[in-house]
Amino acid sequence: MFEFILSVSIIFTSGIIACLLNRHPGKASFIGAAGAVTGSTIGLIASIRIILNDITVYKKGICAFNIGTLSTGIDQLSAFFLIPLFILVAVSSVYGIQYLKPFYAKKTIGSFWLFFNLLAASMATLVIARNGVFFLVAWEIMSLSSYFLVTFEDEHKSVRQAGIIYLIANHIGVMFLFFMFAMMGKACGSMEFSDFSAASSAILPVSSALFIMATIGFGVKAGFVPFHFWLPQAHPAAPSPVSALMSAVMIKTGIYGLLRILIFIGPPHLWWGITLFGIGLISGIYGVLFALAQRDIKRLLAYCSVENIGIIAMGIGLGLIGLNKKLPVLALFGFAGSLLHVFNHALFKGLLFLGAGAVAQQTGTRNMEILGGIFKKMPATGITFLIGAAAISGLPPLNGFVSEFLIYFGSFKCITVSSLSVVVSSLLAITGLAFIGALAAACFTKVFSIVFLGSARSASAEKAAEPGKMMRAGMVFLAVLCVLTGISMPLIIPCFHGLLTEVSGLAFSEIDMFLSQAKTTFVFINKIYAVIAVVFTCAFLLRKKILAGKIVRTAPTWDCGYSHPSAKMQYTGSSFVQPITDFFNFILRAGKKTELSSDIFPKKISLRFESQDIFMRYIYEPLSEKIYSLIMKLRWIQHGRLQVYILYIVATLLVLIIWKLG
Amino acid sequence: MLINILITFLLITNIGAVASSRLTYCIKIVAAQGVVIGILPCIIYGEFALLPIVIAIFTITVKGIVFPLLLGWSLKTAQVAREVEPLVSYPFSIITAVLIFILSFWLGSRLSLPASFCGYLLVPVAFSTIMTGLFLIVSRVKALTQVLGYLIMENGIYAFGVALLREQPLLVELGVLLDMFVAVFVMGIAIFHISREFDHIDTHVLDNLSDRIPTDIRPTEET
Repeated sequence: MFEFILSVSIIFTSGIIACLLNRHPGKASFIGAAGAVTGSTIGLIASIRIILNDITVYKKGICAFNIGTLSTGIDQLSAFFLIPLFILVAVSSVYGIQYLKPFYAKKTIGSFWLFFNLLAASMATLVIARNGVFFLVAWEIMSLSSYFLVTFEDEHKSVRQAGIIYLIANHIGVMFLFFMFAMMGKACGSMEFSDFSAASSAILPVSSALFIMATIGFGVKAGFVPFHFWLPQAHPAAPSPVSALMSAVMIKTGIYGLLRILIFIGPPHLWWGITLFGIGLISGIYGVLFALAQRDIKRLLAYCSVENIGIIAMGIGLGLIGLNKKLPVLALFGFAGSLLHVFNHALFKGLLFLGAGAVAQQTGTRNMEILGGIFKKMPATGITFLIGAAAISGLPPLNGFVSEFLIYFGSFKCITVSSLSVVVSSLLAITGLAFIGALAAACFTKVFSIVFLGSARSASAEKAAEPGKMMRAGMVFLAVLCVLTGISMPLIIPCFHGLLTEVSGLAFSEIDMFLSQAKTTFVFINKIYAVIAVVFTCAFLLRKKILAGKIVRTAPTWDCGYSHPSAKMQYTGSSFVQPITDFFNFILRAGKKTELSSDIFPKKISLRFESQDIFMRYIYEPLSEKIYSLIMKLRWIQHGRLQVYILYIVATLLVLIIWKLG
Repeated sequence: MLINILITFLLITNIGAVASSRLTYCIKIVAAQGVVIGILPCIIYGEFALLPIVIAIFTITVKGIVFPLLLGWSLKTAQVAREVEPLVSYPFSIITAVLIFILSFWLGSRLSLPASFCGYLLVPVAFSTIMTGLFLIVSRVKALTQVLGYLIMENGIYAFGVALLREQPLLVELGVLLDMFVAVFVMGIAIFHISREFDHIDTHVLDNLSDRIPTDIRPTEET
């Protein structure tokens, strides 16, 4: 336990020191990042030790302010969420040193590091908090510090607006959490987590209400549809290391909270599982479809986070259905798949955001339509981005494949069970995952080919150059981890023993059986990888041998024998995905403007494609308009006339006196 | 008997302050009220000890002489039009003052106060003086009339204190009086500066400084 408190303290203190060094941006950056890396390394080693040795620690803390104790504790679930957290904090802070250099003259770098380290420290704290009030305090610090990071470039109007939307979304979410913890505290007579798990019979009557509030409250943070609306706004607005940290780790705290509460509130009802599964399926499909239609690379990644959170929710939903129907296979595969996807998504989404940030910073734009051909100029960024893109599309042998594979596998095992709900949800999981995976692959083909391949579509893409060493180091590190996780599953999966016991509450023997089954499967998969690798190596050597001594010519991409090829001859992002977006236009409801010409020598033809979030457009915007106009009707109260303000006071006093005396 | 005459005079000055349309007249009424308030404790307690007399002299000097002079000076230097500029018409103001008086009587009868030794009139009149002061603050445009309203309100508080307590309030009132002095002083200077900067002392023009968003400027979405 001591290591974690030490690690949080180091991260926090270095943030404060960095803030004090505001005048020297270089030093502030160094101290802030050094503290984050040191603290994360200590915490990471300790978490891995906890996982490997299957330890659970609980420490009742001192009472603070009479409302809650600062109790801390660590178990398998906490340690499991801390691992990606510490990895991403370390990587994105190293990346951040370089990323922030162009901002030295115009921004306060010290305060960036203060909020960055505060965000990291508060996330770690909320994962090890063992008291409701303490948890909520850490949760609020996390929300607020990330708000200040999102609004880092607050000179842009869009950034300020994104910040407001983010703040509102967070406060709607935390309102439900307040209610939830208050209800739990009332039922158990204490806010201590240890009392929550002890008083499961007291919680049982209100468990469904708690489940609903947890799903909404944590769902806003995690980005479940329809509470996802802040993600596509906040992630593009935030600086890239921050969006990496937020998308990779911070939205997972919602998943952590949901799992924690699910452990407390006892045996699940069937409809809980079906609800979560349905939310997951909708989020997955919705997220990937909207990701396809985006032009802004970071907004695309944000929608893609919605998709992946959907996959995670599907896994948890299947797990709950399995627990309810006494099907340990479905439960364990569901939970294991979703937990593994939490870890994997943190790695590859962090990597992709860092890559996107490098591209955006080097070219000065996030609009994919005017990029192109930068693979030749930024090869390291390109290769790592390709690895991340392949991983997020769920392609073997990378890590995105293994977690989705577990969910597939569990669902395939259960389509012959005699329960209708299980069969339907398993079938939906298989088809849904396949659908999401295919569209994700299309989506990342678009990103990679439009941004990195072909030739430059604008001057800003022309001038791109490889980013600095520290930015590259962060991306390469995550890419290596993506590959390693993908191929070392037979070693990793046995470590899930304690974690699955905690989450599912099933017997040891069942978990052991599951783990050995999963392990054999992964060993088999690895053998296939080995065979494919050998075949490819042979083919490569053969090619080299055939080509030896012959002249190999290289030509510009899309040359096609034209005498004067132009960059405009290439596919654009919008035209590449146009068949898919046309097909799904009943969901996307995009405004499509085409300008065609019937001339033999057309002067100009164009295709313009605007898609706007349908929840934003049809629900949240009309709603906020309504609220706004309602509030504006009360605006006359606030007119700035001194006399009438005093009249308010006098009238209030008089009414009070008359009421009291009358 | 003398007490009741003084109290009635207090009441008449209230109505006079509300009804007067000219600023100089208004200042004079408030000055007269200050003198009456100053005499009040001496008469009520019926003893001529040193402390009440000192305080009476002090009160009369400040409220009856210094404040009116100060206000007259700022009236002159700020070159204010000599009209009161009410937000509520004079007849209606008088009616309101009478209503306030009725309300105060009702309130006075409902309040269970410790045994009063100065007749049943002083508490309601003190109440109505406080509320009349507030009414003046609310219903007049100029900053100067607001100072006057503030003074009248303070007189009411003073009278209320006199009605209830015997020894102690004099010391307390001394403190309040000092506060008042500073307040009027600051207000006088502020009025002078406001008029120099903006060429008038209408407080309602200050609402240009409020945070109200004009309805035509609305946050719009930026793409």
